[in-house]
Amino acid sequence: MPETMTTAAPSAVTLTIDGKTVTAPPGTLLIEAAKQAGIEVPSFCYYPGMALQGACRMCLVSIEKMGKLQTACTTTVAPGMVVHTENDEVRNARKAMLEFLLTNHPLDCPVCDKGGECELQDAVFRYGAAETRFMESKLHHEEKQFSKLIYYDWPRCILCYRCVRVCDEIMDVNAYGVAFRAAHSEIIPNRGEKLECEECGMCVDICPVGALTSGTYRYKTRPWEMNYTGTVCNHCGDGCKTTLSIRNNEIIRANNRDHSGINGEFLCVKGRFGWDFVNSQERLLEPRVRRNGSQAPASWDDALGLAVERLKAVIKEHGRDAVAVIGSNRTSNEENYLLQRLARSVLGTNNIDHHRTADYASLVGALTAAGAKDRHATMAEIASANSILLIGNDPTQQHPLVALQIREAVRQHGAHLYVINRNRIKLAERQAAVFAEVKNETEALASLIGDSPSGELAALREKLQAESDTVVIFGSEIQGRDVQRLVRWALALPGRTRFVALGDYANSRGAADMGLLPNTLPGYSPVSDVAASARFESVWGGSIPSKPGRNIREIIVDIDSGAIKALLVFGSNPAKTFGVSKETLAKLSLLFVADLFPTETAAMADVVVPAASFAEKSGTVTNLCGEVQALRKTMRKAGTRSDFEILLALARLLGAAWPYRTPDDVLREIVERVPGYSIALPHLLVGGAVPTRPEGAPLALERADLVFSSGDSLFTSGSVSRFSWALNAPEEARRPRGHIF
Amino acid sequence: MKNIGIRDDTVRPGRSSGGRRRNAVFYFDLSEALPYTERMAKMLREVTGTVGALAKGFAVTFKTMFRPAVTENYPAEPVHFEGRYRGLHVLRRDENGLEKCVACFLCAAACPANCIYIEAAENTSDHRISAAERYAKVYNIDYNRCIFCGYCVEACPCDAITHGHGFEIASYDMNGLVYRKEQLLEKPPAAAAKP
Ligand code: SF4
Ligand code: SF4
Ligand code: SF4
Ligand code: SF4
Ligand code: SF4
Ligand code: FES
Repeated sequence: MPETMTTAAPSAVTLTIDGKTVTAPPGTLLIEAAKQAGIEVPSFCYYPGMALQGACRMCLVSIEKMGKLQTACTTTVAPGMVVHTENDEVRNARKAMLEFLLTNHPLDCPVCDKGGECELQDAVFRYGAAETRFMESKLHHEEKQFSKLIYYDWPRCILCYRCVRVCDEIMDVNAYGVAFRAAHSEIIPNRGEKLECEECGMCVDICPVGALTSGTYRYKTRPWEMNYTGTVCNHCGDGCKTTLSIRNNEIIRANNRDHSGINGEFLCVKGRFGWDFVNSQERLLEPRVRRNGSQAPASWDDALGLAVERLKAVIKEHGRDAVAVIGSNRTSNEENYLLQRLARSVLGTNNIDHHRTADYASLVGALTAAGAKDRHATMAEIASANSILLIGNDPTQQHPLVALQIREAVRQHGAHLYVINRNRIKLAERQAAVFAEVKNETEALASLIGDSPSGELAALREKLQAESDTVVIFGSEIQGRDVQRLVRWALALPGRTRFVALGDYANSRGAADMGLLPNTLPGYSPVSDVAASARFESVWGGSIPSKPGRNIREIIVDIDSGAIKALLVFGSNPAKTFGVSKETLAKLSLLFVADLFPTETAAMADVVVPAASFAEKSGTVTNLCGEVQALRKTMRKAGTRSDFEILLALARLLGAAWPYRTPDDVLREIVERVPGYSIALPHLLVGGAVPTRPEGAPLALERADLVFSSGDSLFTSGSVSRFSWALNAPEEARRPRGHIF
Repeated sequence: MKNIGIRDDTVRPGRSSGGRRRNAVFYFDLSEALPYTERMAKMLREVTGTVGALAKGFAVTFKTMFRPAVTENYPAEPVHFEGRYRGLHVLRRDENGLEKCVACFLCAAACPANCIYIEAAENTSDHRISAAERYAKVYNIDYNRCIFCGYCVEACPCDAITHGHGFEIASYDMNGLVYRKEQLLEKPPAAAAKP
């Protein structure tokens, strides 16, 4: 018996299940109490975390002194109960239930996508009921395409209503209903013939049988034919853990197979289906070099050689300040760390920046200044908070996991959600206790923390004063000095407060943490801080320039003015994000781009090299809560190299002797040198999310147009989503941004 | 004269011959140790025993000489098989000429040599290969590794894969031993009907 059983609370109930003495808190469902004692009671309609259904009768158990068999999924434990989960009576009842479920079920397991991982198949194997006693032929309905990504096969459906409930209760989309009666019951989309929903695929994932199937995985392979690797989704900043299923070096599907990590079984449409950009035919697979005005394929040696030759020429002629580097929101922490090392200690410039989608530097600075650097909320803490203040952003669209955590907090334990937003976002419409619809979040914040807040803000403030445990979540609307004001004010609230800033992409947080900023070193120490520089100089050798570099806007202006002559871009598309014109980029002596796809920026480059995607490399990423998780290499893509390898090669050609052989070597240095990143590696290696506690000086944000959200929707992901079939195929992808499903 | 040895290979010059001698067709111990009558009786027993055994053996030989021959005159004449002979696999078609294989991968899962490789794809109404939703777009058997155990045939729920009687697959080129679906597949009914 597990340890927990013996140390139960005094009010616990003691009962006997299959001869084992089990102790559980009052109100525990029998099926859960049995599970804790290591006894599996089969179930179809019961699903932890969702409303009870009592529909399938698979969980029947016999309880002494009770006349009829009882459903373990709806019966709560009672003192002295004696339960049998596997006697002949129970077995016969289950077999009969299965026979009934199979009345119209085709049992076409050899063809069915679920074969090999089907709960019904397992149950039939266990209890044996594959022969039917019915003389009538089985009812049949044709399969329906609910959407480009989701198909429904009626005969296989066992009407467990898991799909209906997951969509309603967990996703809060309510896209499914049940039509008709009895043997003719069927699952139907609630809004017309086709699904009109977020296309998250949670219903496909949760369906115990092969009734709901995935448009990308359908009939491609079988579960035992694939290799599985746990890694992290590369789209938004929430950092969902996902398992990529690989066959023949190609991703076939993604689901969080073991339901572990910060997201349980949750993935949004991007995580579940939007990985297909990795398999895209448009991936860059060989380096290209511009000669006489047009790009032509070249070897790696030629491409990197040319880049380094031009870099050296620019430095020689125009000085180190004529070089600038733009980093990525998606590359790993190790790669970001090396990129800024390349800029600072090899190229000798602080001209390094990235597209900042949330002001992490200000948040970390403000928390450090207030002596509260442990007040970064983790993803789990959002769901367990008593109250949540959400300022700006639209998590339902841009941060599906954060939105889920907020909904769970409200649904599971009645947390209060306070929303300040210029739009009537879905969370405001559906979950908010108080919604202050404002013209501008920045002004609203000033009013909220000012002397006389107006209207809804006054009510909101009053309620917040009474909360004991609040998580403050804000988007890019709150930045610079406002972050400091917000943090100071919220920390002074009577209850405990923690903070989350919503950065857009898989490693937005990591990019800032690793110092892809012109004024801070990894871990947010200012470049002018001699002691902090020495920390890195002692391992890197040489000296780090102490003058802050140019930020991304200044870099662009100075490319135009001719002060910057060489630009290295890694996994970023400034031509699109910052609207840098072709004419401006053409002024550079060297535009070097490492990317997966021929983006607008890559099209203008003098040297383009094909980079590996997240699935093709290992390393770590940090989600928007500051939790570090491991990326694992799942496949290879011939022709590409990871940014890690590209950076190593560039450094070598530039004459720097770097000691790293694998990303792990870099991680070790990060853990040792970067403040706040001294994380426990074992936890990371077993697939955990390890929180970080960075600290930094409160630096003023240089200007207002540096931090802005990319404005992605559920179906877009920067420059990557246009290379994904799954993110463009659903009808819903064409709805205007902010559309509420 | 102490011993008379007839064709005794084991006796080598200069070596004591003591004990039993092997490989002698006849071996008579004519030492003076036994009385004459006993020696004679023993000799006769051995001669009659040997002649009897020879007669029995040759009886089989003679009987068989007059039976019809079972040896196949391969390759001059075609070989005959028992029905259950496990030769090269054949992927079957149904009565409508559709491929029976639904790409369930069970044969590949059962195969102890791991030599079956399948890629599945979905049937559409205008591109229908098998009767079910799924068909095998690629179906390879690697005959470098197949041990003709028949597990795949046993595993198949659709009777799609069977053993044929083909066996002439010896090759100088190992690559040629990876058979593709096109090589394994039964001919479509129309073509098969032709003589
Ligand atoms: S749903 Fe399960 S039991 Fe039904 S056909 Fe598919 S694999 Fe077989
Ligand atoms: S489609 Fe699947 S999840 Fe939905 S009711 Fe049917 S069996 Fe259950
Ligand atoms: S919520 Fe974000 S991290 Fe999670 S699956 Fe969706 S895009 Fe990926
Ligand atoms: S040959 Fe039979 S066992 Fe093999 S995939 Fe086809 S149907 Fe399945
Ligand atoms: S006969 Fe045996 S070894 Fe050969 S393919 Fe079939 S299962 Fe594999
Ligand atoms: S699991 Fe209890 S009735 Fe379905």
